Amino acid sequence: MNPALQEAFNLHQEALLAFIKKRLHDPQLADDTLHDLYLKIQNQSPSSSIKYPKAYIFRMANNLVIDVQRKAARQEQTGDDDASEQHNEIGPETLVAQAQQLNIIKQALAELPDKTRDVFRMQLLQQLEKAEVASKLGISVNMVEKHLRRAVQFCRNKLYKMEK
Amino acid sequence: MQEQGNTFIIQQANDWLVKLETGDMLAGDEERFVAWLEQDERHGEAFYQAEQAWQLMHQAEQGQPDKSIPETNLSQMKASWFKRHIMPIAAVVLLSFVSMFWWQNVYFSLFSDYYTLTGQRLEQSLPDGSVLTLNTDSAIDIRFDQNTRLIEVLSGEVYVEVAPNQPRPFVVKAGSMKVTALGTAFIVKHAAKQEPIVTVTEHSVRVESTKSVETQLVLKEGQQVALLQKGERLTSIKNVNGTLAKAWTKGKYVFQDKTFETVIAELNRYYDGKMIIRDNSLGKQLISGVLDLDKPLESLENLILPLRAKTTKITPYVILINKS
Repeated sequence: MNPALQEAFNLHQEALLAFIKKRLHDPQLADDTLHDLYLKIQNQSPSSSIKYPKAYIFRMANNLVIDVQRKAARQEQTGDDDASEQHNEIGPETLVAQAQQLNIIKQALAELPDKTRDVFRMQLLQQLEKAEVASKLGISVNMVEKHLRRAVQFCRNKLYKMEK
Repeated sequence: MQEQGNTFIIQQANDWLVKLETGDMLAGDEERFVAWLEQDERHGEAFYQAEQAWQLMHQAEQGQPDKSIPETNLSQMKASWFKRHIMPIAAVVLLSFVSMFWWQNVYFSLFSDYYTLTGQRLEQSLPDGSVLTLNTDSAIDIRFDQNTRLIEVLSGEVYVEVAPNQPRPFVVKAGSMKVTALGTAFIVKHAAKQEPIVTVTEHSVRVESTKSVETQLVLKEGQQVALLQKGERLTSIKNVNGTLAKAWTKGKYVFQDKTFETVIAELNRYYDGKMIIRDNSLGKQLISGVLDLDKPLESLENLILPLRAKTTKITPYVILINKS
């Protein structure tokens, strides 16, 4: 249990519920989802330091809401009461899909211009602050931010084709 | 117009993701982020996608997902969902004829802050209250800080409405052309392999070349000028109708006594393919009218009726226009 997250949850519980309810509509489902969020927070490792706890729990809530919506949409489509889904098991189809996604991103990263990829890697792998990346590559912090935004934009667009 | 809203939302989501992940938050940003997330379901969806992309980028580089960001629970996804949402590799091969358009868009999408695809229009409010409208196939960079308000038109066409009463100058660059707002509204066009052009629709601007100190003039309402690459000289001033010049911002093309080929060339900008006139005499005919730029194919059909011409589709993206 992570104390910062727990505190954030307590502090913003009402806002979180309102957020979830606005998206899921069904009050019972909203309550259940808030409870799931609470459980997930309990399972968070205490050692992980979270920089922006309020943003973090709302991101968690957002992810949960979308997962619930997708599950509902799928069940509606396929009339699927698959036992494996209910137990949150990862079926073989899902593993293939995940592998496909990873390949798309790997390819996308390879297609990035060298500088953009370098900036991304430095920030990620060497865990450098933007100012450090900037000074290492001889570019402005502004440019570092631009490169990072471009990398995310490019990869995101590969994963979810830009719809017209 | 829904797609344009979505493009903007996606860019916002990506920007927030990078801010949160690379420690760029100023006081109040965390609140602003949560407010943004709560505001609209589409924000939530777009952010989820940005997070997923980032997770996978992390995994691709490090061999494991980033534990420091909330799990997006990929295990809930079914393969068919991906098939519907991810462009199959085969489709990229099929697009080989129009691939030059596609790659152009990809190139500028890597190097710009905001961009539009073919046939897209995007209205963007800036932090100072100014408004930019991007036309089809356009890409711009934005740099706002305490001293400057700077827009760079990398390609395409932008209509700028400048918020007045600000100490910071508002500057738009296109190639070596530098336009400083002295009033409120103007258009900057920077088409590929063509000279940058500025048209003033309200008040005036100062036009200069960043490469030649002697080149400069003040351009007034209803005037248009281009910067020639040769000698960094400005062309002579052309008088234009400001209302017609900015009709595209409302999705309309209004023209008077223009040749058919000029009109088709303009319509082509908004069509993700190519319209080709096969008949020379047909191309030279003068016409006047109003076209809906959001429906280029429909506009084409309306256009050819009085001209007694016909169209033939030879591939999904190429249309030939002949006399019937």
